Amino acid sequence: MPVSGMVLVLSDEPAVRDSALEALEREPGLTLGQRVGDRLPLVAETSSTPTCMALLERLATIEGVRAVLPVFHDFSDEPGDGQEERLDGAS
Amino acid sequence: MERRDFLKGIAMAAATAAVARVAEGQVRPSPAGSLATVRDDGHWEKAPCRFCGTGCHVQVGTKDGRVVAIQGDAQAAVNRGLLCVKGYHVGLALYGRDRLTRPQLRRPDGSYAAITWEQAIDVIASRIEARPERFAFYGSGQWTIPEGYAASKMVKAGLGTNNVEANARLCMASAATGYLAVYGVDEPAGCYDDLDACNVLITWGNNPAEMHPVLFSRVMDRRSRGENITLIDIGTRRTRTTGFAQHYLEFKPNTDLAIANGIAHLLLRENTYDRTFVEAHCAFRGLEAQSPTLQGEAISFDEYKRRMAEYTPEHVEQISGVPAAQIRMLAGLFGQRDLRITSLWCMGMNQHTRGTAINALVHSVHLLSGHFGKPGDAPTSLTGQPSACGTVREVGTLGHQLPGGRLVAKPEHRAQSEALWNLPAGRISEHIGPHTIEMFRRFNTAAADGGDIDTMWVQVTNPGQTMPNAHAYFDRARALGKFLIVSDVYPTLTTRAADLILPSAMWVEKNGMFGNSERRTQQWFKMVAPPGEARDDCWQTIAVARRLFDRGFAGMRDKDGKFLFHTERDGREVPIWDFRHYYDVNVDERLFEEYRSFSRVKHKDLAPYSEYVAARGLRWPVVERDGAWHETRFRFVEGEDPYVARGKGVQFYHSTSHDDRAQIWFHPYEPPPESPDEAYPFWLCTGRVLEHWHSGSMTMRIPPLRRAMPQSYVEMNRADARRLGVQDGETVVVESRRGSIEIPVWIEGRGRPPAGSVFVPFFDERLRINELTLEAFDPFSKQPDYKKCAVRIRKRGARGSAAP
Repeated sequence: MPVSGMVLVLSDEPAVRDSALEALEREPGLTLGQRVGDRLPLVAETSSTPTCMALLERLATIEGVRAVLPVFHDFSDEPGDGQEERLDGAS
Repeated sequence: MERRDFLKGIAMAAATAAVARVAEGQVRPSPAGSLATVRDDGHWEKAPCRFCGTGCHVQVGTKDGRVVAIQGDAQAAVNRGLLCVKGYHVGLALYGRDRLTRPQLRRPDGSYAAITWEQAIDVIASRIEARPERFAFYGSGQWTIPEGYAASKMVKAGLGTNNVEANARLCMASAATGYLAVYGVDEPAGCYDDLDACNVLITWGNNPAEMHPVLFSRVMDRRSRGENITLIDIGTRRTRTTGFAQHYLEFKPNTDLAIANGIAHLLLRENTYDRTFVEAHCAFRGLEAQSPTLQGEAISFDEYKRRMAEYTPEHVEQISGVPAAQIRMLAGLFGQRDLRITSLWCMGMNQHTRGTAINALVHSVHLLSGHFGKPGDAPTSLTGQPSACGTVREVGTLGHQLPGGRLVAKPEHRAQSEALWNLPAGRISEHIGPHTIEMFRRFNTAAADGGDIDTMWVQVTNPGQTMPNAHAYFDRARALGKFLIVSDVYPTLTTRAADLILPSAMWVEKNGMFGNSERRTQQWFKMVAPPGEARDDCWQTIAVARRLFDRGFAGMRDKDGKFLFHTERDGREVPIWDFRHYYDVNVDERLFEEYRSFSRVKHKDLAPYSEYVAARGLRWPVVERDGAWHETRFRFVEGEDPYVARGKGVQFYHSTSHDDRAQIWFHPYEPPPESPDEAYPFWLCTGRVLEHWHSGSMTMRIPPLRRAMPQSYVEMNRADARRLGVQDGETVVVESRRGSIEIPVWIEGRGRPPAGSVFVPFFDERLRINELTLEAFDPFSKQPDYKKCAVRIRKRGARGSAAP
């Protein structure tokens, strides 16, 4: 289960920002840190790296989230070889 | 504490620290060893990211011989602890399941047989020994500095030819010729610090929001702190960058020259150019009427003004499609002395048959308006590869270059190189080697028809996917019986055409050094072992050179009879050609220290290797003063650049007019070599996407990135799709005069091309768009134009093409 640290850039409009924070609090697997202005540190736990990527994309679509900036990625529990099919389709 | 809680604690600490750094807009030193104290079950070391030319530093976490974690390096001035989505996943690039792990030789029936490294080295040495003049080495801006230096030395000093090139010819050669034409020396005067000081940022055919996102976030961070920054996007299609811009200027392909000239015209006409700066520091140039050269010929200010006279805003609007009011807006900004204006560009200006000209014109607008030499006032080209600058441009792994900015064509430069390499006089050939397009043309042409290259060794690049007009410039060689050697980490379209495949170590599986877009030289150490029998590219080169030496090949000896890569420790030779002993010494350090001695002639001074071990990169020139090594932020500026004489203010000390002046150029607008017509009515532009790096050979093996962007597409305007009768996701046939592919349509997807033009990214080997692209190249840089050619589009199974 990968663990990720990231910084979200939130809207500078308080109402929109608060709405984004509410949406983020509803997201499973997220731990929100201490917001500084429009910047919010958070930690995400996901079941796999693809799920983590999907989460990054989903966070970016939340209204009031202007950018998602990744800073940390631990994938030590992820399988290595065999995690992806070959490009040419061969096994 | 549970291990997961441990990891979450690190992740939150990293994110919180990044918030603070971003809020302050600067790097604050982290407590020494902080990572080690919070994560005591593994090991952390610094390395530059493997992907683009930004040069972000990461901390690489390893455990039990594997890379297990990546953290943006808090002490790195480039990225301040932040990462983009590719950098965030860079550790996974090592662990695709189809890593190449054994040397393989093609059998007569086309299948491959595993062979030993000894056999592989013998095969290469035999090919070279038989016809050294018919051998060519092709690398890239992903060669580390020592790898590129070794390859160049092997070919130029060892084989006595200049048949070495790199794929950077395909991505930034016009930036280099632009700098040479204007300043007399390559690479930017400014640096990323300009992004922290500019009031106006102009992106010329550039999409940093996707291609250099960490740099772009620096500017967006300033905005979010309340700073007023005007972003102007000049492009041929709307991109993610456009979404952040206050002004978007959409121009017809190839007409950016007219826009630059339109700005200069207004600065002259309105008398808003910086007369003081121009009179003190600039001269004027135009191309010679006969046999034009990169140096051009001197013209007077009046002549320059006369040539610019026709580029009125209305005339520019007619050529480019950009409204005259927007040209006036741009000129108005350049005419204001109190603004700080930074221009950024990358492939859009460089992959251009007038690439040298448009580069020179953008520099010229900055010089003419005096927007140069102050923090935030800079014209800066970005690079796409991690060491296009450090290796290809500085080491000089090109057919016309020698290390340190020297030129094959100059007898004194050859003599200097021979002296530094301890070679007999005359060893280095006076004949310039073929540029990339020419090299591949000869490799793909029968010997009887002038195809005089019959063996090519490709390292760290994928020309099977990236050469333009790929059928003609890559696919023919095999049928002609040419011999292709490919060193790589994964199977690619290039390895599939290879006769001999060599498995390579990548990134932190070996020592390395890169040089990024802002003159920053970076270093890292090997952290984990490569898989199977994969080995360092640099070792492969040295091993072949040694095999030739052992066979008595004279070129592999210096004038004292020693091996070209002779390495000693404690007075005894270390057999670095034997992989068991390759890491007995730090070969990178030995090669870099040797290369350093080349760097001063163009004032690109480098520090000793140990300084780079301690730093997160240093920007050259790096000079020793008061017992410490100091980098340079801004070149040619007194107080910043150690080579500017006191009292000069600004000094272009490599001036081509030999009077410390930079050259302001006039180049006319000219139409492109191929434009849409009745038969092929659409423009095709190719490029990159956020998730994938270049040909996708690494990022397509990273599951999250591959799933986020699983395949290529043709991006199309909604009106064109309606006219063609195609739906979003429907497969269409896109064809040019050179080839065709079937590819799904994405209607106004991530980017929005205007009617009459389409965009296709090149990362997907299953949809090889370079079968369609044009090999036409810039006359000075020899860089081909991947950004514009004519295509037609039809529904699969339908005949003909709808006009846009």
